[in-house]
Amino acid sequence: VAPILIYRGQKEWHDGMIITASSLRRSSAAPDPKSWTNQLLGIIDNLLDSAADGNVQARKQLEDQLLYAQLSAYQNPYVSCSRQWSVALGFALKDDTPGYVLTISGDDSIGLDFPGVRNRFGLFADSQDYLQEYGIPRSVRPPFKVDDVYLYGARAASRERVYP
Amino acid sequence: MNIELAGAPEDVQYFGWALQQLPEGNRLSGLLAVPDVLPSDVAVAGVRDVYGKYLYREPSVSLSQWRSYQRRAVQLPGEAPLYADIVSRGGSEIEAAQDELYDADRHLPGIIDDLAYQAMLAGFLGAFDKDTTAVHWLATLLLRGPLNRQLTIGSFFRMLTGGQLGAFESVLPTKSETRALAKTLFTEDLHSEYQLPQTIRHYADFVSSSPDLGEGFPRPRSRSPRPRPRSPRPRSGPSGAGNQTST
Repeated sequence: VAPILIYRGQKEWHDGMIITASSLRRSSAAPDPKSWTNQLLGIIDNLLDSAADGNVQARKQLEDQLLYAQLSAYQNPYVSCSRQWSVALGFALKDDTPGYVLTISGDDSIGLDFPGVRNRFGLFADSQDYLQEYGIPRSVRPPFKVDDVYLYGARAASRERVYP
Repeated sequence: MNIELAGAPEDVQYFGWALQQLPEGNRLSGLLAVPDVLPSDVAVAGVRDVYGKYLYREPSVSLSQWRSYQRRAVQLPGEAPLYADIVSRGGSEIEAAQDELYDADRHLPGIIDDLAYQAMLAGFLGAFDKDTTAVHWLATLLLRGPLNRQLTIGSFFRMLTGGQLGAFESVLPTKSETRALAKTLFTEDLHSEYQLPQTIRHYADFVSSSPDLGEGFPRPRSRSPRPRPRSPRPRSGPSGAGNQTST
């Protein structure tokens, strides 16, 4: 196990909430979001393997796939988190309204480190590397777990611990 | 043709991303990869042709329904849709799709977002060309979100204006910053550090020196396409849509 600590900003939270990948929640174009999500994960895994074998075409496709995942929610089979707390806060406070910042711990070897993969293969990141995105496949479940949750008021004017 | 863009100058990265990812631009990206195959004015006309198809739907153009390999070939009934078509269509159809159109972060069924993604890429090409309507479309897409895409559009303008626009105080733009940038894009003349012919040349220079174009790579044919005259375009639509999104 390679321990990792990551953050996620969201607008809603309740104890026991199942946090899922956006491809599972926002894929009305796909008749079966579950298999669509598995398909996306399979594509990315295959591309990672082929790119590691030196396949130039796969490396380029991986570049596109990572950009799609970050720019079109239904293309993202991961629960989007960030290594940077400030990025999570940005998502939590989007639209200048209150939001929650979750601290999540887990196993680094299971998720997808977007900037890490890009650095490894020399891929174009557009502006997305600012996000320091770390993707947990499908949903937050063991070995990943939510450690704590804070509710921030609009413009971070207040902070309240709501979990645990 | 797809060429790795990592390590390229910033303008080449955005230009290449847009040209290579737009179905109508892919062929041109191959032609531009060989320096001096296309005269400069023909290359510029070719790029205008590409973004014009997505932003203006020039007459007698039938857009291919190609989607990248991993996307489902979802088709709306009727003609090949463009983001501009959907926004400008109005009436009951748009009322039913309001959430999809204007609240991308909460409602994202796919197809409209695909079209918005294409419109953003076409907008990048148009903005290199100082095309006002393209800049207005980018402002509209900026207001629509989602947040990652707002970041992307902001970074694009930061590059294009040499840092004058598009920088956000925190990593991600706040709503007020997004609105302020969109307003500037709608109301002020854009100062650009780049000219389209110059960026095309940068792209050709970078791509032709790419190791991906080694021995045995199928070189594009050197036959030049006939340049198409730039046709007059309607100048209405996007600004109205932008107003609607800003609430």
